[in-house]
Amino acid sequence: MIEVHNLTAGYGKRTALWNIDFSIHFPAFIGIIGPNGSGKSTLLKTILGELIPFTGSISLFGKPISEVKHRLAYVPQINSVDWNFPIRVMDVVLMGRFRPNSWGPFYSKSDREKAAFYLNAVGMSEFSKRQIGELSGGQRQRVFLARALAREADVLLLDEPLAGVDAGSGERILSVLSDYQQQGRSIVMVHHDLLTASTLFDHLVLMQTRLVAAGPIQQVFTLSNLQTTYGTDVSILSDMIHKLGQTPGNLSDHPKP
Amino acid sequence: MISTQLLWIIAGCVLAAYLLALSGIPTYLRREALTGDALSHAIFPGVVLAVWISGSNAGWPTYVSGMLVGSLALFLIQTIHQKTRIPKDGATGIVLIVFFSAGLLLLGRLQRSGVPLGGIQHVLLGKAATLLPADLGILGILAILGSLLFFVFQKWVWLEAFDAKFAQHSGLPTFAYSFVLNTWTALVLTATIQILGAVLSAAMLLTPAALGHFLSPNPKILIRTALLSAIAAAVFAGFISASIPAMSTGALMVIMLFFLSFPFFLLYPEKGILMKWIARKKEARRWSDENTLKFLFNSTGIRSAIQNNPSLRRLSNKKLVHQNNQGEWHLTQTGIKNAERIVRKHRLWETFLHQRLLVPEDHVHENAELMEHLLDDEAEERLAQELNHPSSDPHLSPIPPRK
Repeated sequence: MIEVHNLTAGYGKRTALWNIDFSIHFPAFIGIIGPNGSGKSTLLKTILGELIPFTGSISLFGKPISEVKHRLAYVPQINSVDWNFPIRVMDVVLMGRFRPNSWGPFYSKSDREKAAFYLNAVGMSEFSKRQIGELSGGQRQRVFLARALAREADVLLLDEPLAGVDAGSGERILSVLSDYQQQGRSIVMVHHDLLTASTLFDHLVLMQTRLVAAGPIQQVFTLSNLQTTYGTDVSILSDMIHKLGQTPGNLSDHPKP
Repeated sequence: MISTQLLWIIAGCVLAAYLLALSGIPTYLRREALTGDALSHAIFPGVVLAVWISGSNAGWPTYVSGMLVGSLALFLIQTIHQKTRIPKDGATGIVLIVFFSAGLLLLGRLQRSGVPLGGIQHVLLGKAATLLPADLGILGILAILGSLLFFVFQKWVWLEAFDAKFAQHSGLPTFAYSFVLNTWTALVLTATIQILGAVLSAAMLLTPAALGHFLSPNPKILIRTALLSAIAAAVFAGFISASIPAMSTGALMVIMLFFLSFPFFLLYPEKGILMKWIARKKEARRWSDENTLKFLFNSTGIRSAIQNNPSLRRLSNKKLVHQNNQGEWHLTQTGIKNAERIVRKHRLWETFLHQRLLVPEDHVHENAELMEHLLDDEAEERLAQELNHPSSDPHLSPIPPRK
């Protein structure tokens, strides 16, 4: 269970999100949705413990973040590491299998198999022996995703994992995430695309610097909520309704039973 | 003839170089090169102090004192950095020079105080000949311990250096790890200070790892290169140091390592500075030759004004051009074939820019001037297919067919 209580957070003097309050039971596939600048990434960073909130608190599994960090996995910003570092793609993914009690220079056979599996899942198998510096930005992102997946942590946190990824790999990554979630693990993911959001997640957190709504998708994914979230940015909504082949009336304004 | 004395010295040098190169790998990977340098300077006053108090520079007081003063220096660097917002490298520089100055002052006082000096006057620049069997024993124990630790913690070293935040999330105790690593480095620097000297040990700490990284991004090769190059430098330095007693072992070892690494930095295929320079030069020549061929293709016979053009000379050696009796340069049969290929690439690219990217036809030439040298045969073929094998470019000049 994730509980966010009375959370206000930001950077320096700038407040990026105000007074967020929600709780969702695990296992869940949670999408954090909202327009640019709505505080999605800030919320994710606070859950990760990278950003100390101004007020309020977050707990996971009933404990403060600092005590459950080892149960989280995340994909960092790709510019946060030195890409000239002497390491190959497979070695990076293997880092996901690191445990404090893994001694010696080698990883076990099952660790190597898992790493290879997730590297394949993000469509990067053929690059396993490459030095990481030789990869493009999107490829680096996918290697980091494979590493986070390989941790097989209880909660996986992702900030737009499909940004900079081509359509083919995008679909592949989404199906890997579905499998991951079906094994009883939870995913919290900042996401941009409303169209895939409607089928991918089972819970949504709709943000607009304040919380618009949070909860099971059947209750939260309503036209009025989406309008509050995206406000003036009507094009996204109409675009989506068009793609879904629905009239606004079909996208129920009332919670489904 | 190899005397026992010489063997002692070489053994000491090899152990010291091995230890420093091994401990230098994590330091180098964490981009803490300057910290390593600071540490080697900072333990200097600690060692002098230990000699002053205990009256000898052998045994445990030196190690304890070196480690304590080294840790104090690291603590100060961290504190200055956090409290004053001076960047870490600035703070490191300040602490380095202050501690080193303190060491020099202490050493000056000590020399006039009449305390028996032992080998302390060599602490600055290092001298392997002053090594005692007991010191060698300690180096040996440290080398075994260090190898064991490195083997057991190798995954930690790479993970923490690559992505400390991720390491922390994975349960690696980053704070304790840094502390142990720094203490270990201070201990190694103290143990090797008599051979290498305070000023030079940082070079032996970092250069081997840097050379290893230069040669390969593969961790296994990096580690082997670092250790082997350090050992080789140490063997040479030990020999010379023993036969010419006036020379400082530390300086010799560093210079040896430099001579060992230098050819690699210069000549290593694809990465060496000289090799890169040669490759660039070759590429520039190819461009210039291709331009000459194209020029001759478009104009019939040019006169002797460019008699000494190096490009024409190269092309004539390859029998792509020849000079007739009037001194005019012409393309040979093969020359025409080669020139047609370049013109073909140029005009295909112009067509592509114009037809597909909708670049106006008076703007396509400059870009095609570059692309004609860059398109390989496969790209050329695909381009032709994509454009349905056009017969003329946007300026209506014919595109020569591929023969």
